[in-house]
This record gives sequence, C-alpha cells and structure tokens, in this order.
Amino acid sequence: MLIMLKIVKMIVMKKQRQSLGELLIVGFGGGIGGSLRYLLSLIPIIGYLPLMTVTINWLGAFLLALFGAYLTKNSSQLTRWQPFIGTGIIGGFTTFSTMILQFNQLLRNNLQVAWLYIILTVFGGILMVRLGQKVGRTV
Amino acid sequence: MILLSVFIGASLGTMLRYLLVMFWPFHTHIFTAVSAINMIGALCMGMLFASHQLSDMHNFWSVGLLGGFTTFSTMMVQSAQQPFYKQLIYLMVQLIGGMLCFMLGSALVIMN
Repeated sequence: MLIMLKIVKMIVMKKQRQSLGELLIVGFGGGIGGSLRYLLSLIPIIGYLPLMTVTINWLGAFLLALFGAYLTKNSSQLTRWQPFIGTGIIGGFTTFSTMILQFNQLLRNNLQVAWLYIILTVFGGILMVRLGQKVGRTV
Repeated sequence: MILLSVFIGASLGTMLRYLLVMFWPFHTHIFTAVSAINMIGALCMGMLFASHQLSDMHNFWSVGLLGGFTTFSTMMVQSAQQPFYKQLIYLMVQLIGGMLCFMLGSALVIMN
C-alpha cells in the first residue's frame, strides 16, 4: 500500500508542471464540444440511420487530423491551444459510447442497417483522418 | 437548462479523460489509454441503458458525461499513426471490446 502511494506520488510530482489550469481549460473545451454535439443532435433526421452521430464523428476525426498535421508542419502559436481545441473541444465533440449504444439498438431492429452504420462510421473515419492530414499539410 | 447539464457533464467527462491519459502507465500501441477509456465508457453506457435511467438524467449522464469522456476522433487519429494492419487490429480491439463491455454492463444491471 505504502509503495503504491509512493509510486503515485512520484508520478504526480513528475507531471506537476502540467498544471491544474490546463485541466480546467480542457474541461471548458469539452463542455463546448459536448454542447455543440447536443445541439446538433436536436436536428431531426429522417430514416433508420442515426446519421447525425456519423456526421459528428466524421467531422471530429477530420478536424483533429487536420489540426495535428498542421501543428507538426508549422510551429505556430496554436500549439499552446492544443489541449483546449484538440483534447477539449474536438475530443468532447465526438463520442464512442453513443456509437456503441446506437449500434446495439440497431442490432435489435435491423441487422443490415446496424452493420452499415458501423462500417460507415469506422471506414469513413479512417478516410476522414487521411483527408484531414492531407489538408492540414497543405494549409 | 438541459444545455447547461450537458455542458457540465461533458466538462467533467473530458477532464476525467485528460487525467486518465496523463496518468496511464503503459506504453503499448494496440491497447492505449484511449482504448481503456472507450471501453469503460461503453460499460457505463450499457449499465445506463439497461437500468432505464436513460430518460431522467439522460442528458447529463449519457450525452454529457459519457459523451465527453469517450472519444472517437482521438481513437481514429491514434489508429492512423500505425501501419494499416495494426490500425485495423487496434480498431477491432476497441469495437469488439466496446460491444462486450456494453453487454457486460447491461447484464450486470439486469442480474441485480
């Protein structure tokens, strides 16, 4: 028990330079991203597929890849904003748990639509990341 | 009011994710902190789903907290940093693991 406490203390000491302020900034960004996701989910969509979740996740994957590629290529002031924009806003905007929930709900009703949903989300997401990286390098 | 509860939930979820990523002790590429976060999120979502609590505090717990905690974008970008076959393994681990965790979560609630 004592050893475990010591290890935790060591890790905490090491990470102390990343301050509490960054944590709060990330939380603020996550709130913004989550609120945006909620507002978008209010838009009604016709059909079986929960297309809004697909759109949200695609958009988030695209933006995060774009942002990451841009930051690795250019050393800009924006690097300081990475926790706020990347981890916070975009990370809070996209969601994995809702995707799993909707996949499960679809599996109960319509098998084909469920598989279409998951394949669309995942492989579309892979393509979106590649697209985002390409755009981020050229910008 | 709903928007505020979503905002607070998503803030808390995102901060939890940030802390978990920061203090994650392992350096593996197939199962990362993000994998663990998404699976925990799926487990909790399964529990919420089975307990029929989705109506009352739905906006705080499921849309806010779990939505902010789990992340799809980081998973995708992280997977793209690996060769294609490893990327597929990484994604499969999380998707299948997420499904199993969701079912485990709902089973735990239904049994009790």
